[in-house]
Amino acid sequence: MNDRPRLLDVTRLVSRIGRGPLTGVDRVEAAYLAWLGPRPDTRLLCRTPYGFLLLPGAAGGALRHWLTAPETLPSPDLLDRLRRRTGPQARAEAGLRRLAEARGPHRSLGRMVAQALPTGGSYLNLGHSNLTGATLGALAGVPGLTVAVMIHDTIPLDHPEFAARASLSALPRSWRRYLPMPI
Amino acid sequence: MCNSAATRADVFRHAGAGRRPACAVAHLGIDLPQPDPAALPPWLDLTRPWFVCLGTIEPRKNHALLLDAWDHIARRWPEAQVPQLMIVGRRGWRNAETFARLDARPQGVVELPDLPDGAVAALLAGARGLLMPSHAEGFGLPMLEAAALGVPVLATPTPAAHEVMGQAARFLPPDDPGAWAEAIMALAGAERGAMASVVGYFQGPAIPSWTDHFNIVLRLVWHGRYRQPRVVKGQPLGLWEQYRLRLRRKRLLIRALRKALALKPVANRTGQIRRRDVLLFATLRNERIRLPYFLQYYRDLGIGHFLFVDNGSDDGSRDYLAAQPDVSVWTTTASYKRARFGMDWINWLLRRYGRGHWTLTVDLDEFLVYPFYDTRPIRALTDWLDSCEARSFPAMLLDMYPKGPVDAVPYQEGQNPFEIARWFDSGNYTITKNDDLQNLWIQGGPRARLMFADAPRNAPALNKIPLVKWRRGYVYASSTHMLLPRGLNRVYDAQGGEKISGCLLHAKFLSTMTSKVQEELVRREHYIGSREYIAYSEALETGPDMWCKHSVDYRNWRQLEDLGLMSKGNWA
Repeated sequence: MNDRPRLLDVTRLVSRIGRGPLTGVDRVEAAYLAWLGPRPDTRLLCRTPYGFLLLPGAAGGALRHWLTAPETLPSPDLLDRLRRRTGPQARAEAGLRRLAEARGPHRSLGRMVAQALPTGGSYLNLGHSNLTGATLGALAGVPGLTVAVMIHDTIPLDHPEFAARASLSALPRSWRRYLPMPI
Repeated sequence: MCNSAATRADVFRHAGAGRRPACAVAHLGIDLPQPDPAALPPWLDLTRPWFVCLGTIEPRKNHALLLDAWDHIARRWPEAQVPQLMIVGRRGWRNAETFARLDARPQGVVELPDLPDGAVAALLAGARGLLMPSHAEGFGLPMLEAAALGVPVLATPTPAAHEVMGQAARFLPPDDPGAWAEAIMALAGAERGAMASVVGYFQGPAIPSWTDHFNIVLRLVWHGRYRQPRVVKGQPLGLWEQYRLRLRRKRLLIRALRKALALKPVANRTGQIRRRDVLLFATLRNERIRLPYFLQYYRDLGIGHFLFVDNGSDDGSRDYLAAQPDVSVWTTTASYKRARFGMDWINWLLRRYGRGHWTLTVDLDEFLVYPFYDTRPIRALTDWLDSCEARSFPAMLLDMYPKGPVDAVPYQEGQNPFEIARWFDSGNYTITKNDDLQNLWIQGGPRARLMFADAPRNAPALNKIPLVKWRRGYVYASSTHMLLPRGLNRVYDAQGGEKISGCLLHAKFLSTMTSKVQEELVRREHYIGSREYIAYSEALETGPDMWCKHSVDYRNWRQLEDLGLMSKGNWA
């Protein structure tokens, strides 16, 4: 039963590199990466501005190293340098691009995952960073793939007065997409 | 996937009753980073006791309450004695007021953004306590981390905190800086070894591991579905045990029929009962002075019809009741004790008239309080219980008492008794589960503290199940504490979540008490040789004051919910 492939979304962690100690949800995603990364049949998925990266589980080691030591990040790629996008996130994406076993534009996500996981498997999203209708729609079309999302709390719905302005509108809408019914 | 049963209940609530997603609950594991004292900033003063508050400074985390509490402490204690408050976390959003207060650098408060994990662990391990006054939490990882380090936790009673910490934290309301200041000062003043006794019932919670977490999660995602292990039923019953309980139930039913022969109708208006009415059942003896307020209170809640058994009153109670348009009365002079303290009579009335109705069985000095009772009628509650497929609703009996001698302020007819008896004990309760009948057994409160201090096990039980959707064959086994069939007693969530519950405010301790005790001592018609009444008479002779400095002034049901004495479950 241990051989069913897993695809772990690490988009949120990549965006947190170089931004101080991890909090709440970041820590949960990091725990998943630490636990699942070294195991065979684990792949990582990262959304970048230029498309998706599909990474081997072993790339998790590099990612975790950069989280604790952002000064060791590689330099950004040419396109990012031209766009003056030189922060830790762009540099981490450059490093991951070199480790990727497949990459492709956003709309090729379904095809890319289906090729990498021909027998299906499970997609785990802890951080909600990549929870868009397009992503979930593409993954839902992959044969044999189970999509699992962790809900950490329903505070944005129950207590909108406590939510940061940015997450106020974004989170509930992204929920509606994954839940099979309107909420 | 959800990190707690509380979160899953929230998700289901938003999803609506009909279609629920496949959803597993897996508590998060914790891995403690190695404490690294060398990573702490060198300017920190670690010679004075300190408390830690962990998390981004945002309104939800309620840092403002801690700043208020520190103001309290600074007013009460000399400057050198004020403990330090280490606020670990970055400044978040929409919290300008708190930021301004922090910028004013209040006494004893230290702000520590961007500490590495090892430093946080070191700070937490040396702290006098972790303070979590959040308004809402999904899980509350820092609480478990503190508990794993043996550090006491003071927290607000959010459903998630109750679930992950159980009895291992002290719960305080999110809007009472005074109470927080008291608890913090007690912890700061205690020797390190004695801290546990200050927090009261501090004991280590079960620390979940990531291994457990992944066992659940990966099974969910492998099979596409995951069945939560069902631990609800407790010990499955053997055939013989099942038969024994069935026999006991049948015996009680027959007994009720037999004892009911002694009941004579005085006014029987049960023909007026409409199909969806909530009915109230009670026995009484010489309670004339209490009746007007009692009837008014329950009419306001929306009770459709009252059914009373009068046990030989001679003060006009019977005639007063018989004159009410929505009341049916039976009378008897038979022994209260031999009718199992009136329960046989009530069981018969319930069987005869209660079938298919929501029925409320209370005493004349018990006043039901349920979530939103001030704005929603009891039918709203029973409709909600119906939609949850709940058959019974629990309420804890909360003894209310006045400050000063019980008979100092005379109770007037028609008066709200809680204008006089408006104090209660907020925390000294013990709960055990009765495996046989599955009910919870709650004891404690002022009666245990004053009259059964040397024999707390003999103190009266406070668990009650007063509200039941009655069906043929149901029977109260012992007062309203236990029902048969025993499934009706399972009014709590054995998987760690919260279910809706209420309180029965107990207005026993009024000026009417003195004469009542004298009468009952002569009659000897109460439980276990009227042991309780003997204790009362002894206590009354010494001029009792049930009030103590830990007593809490009753305000409203939200206060009871904050204190964890009742819960609105998923009802919103």
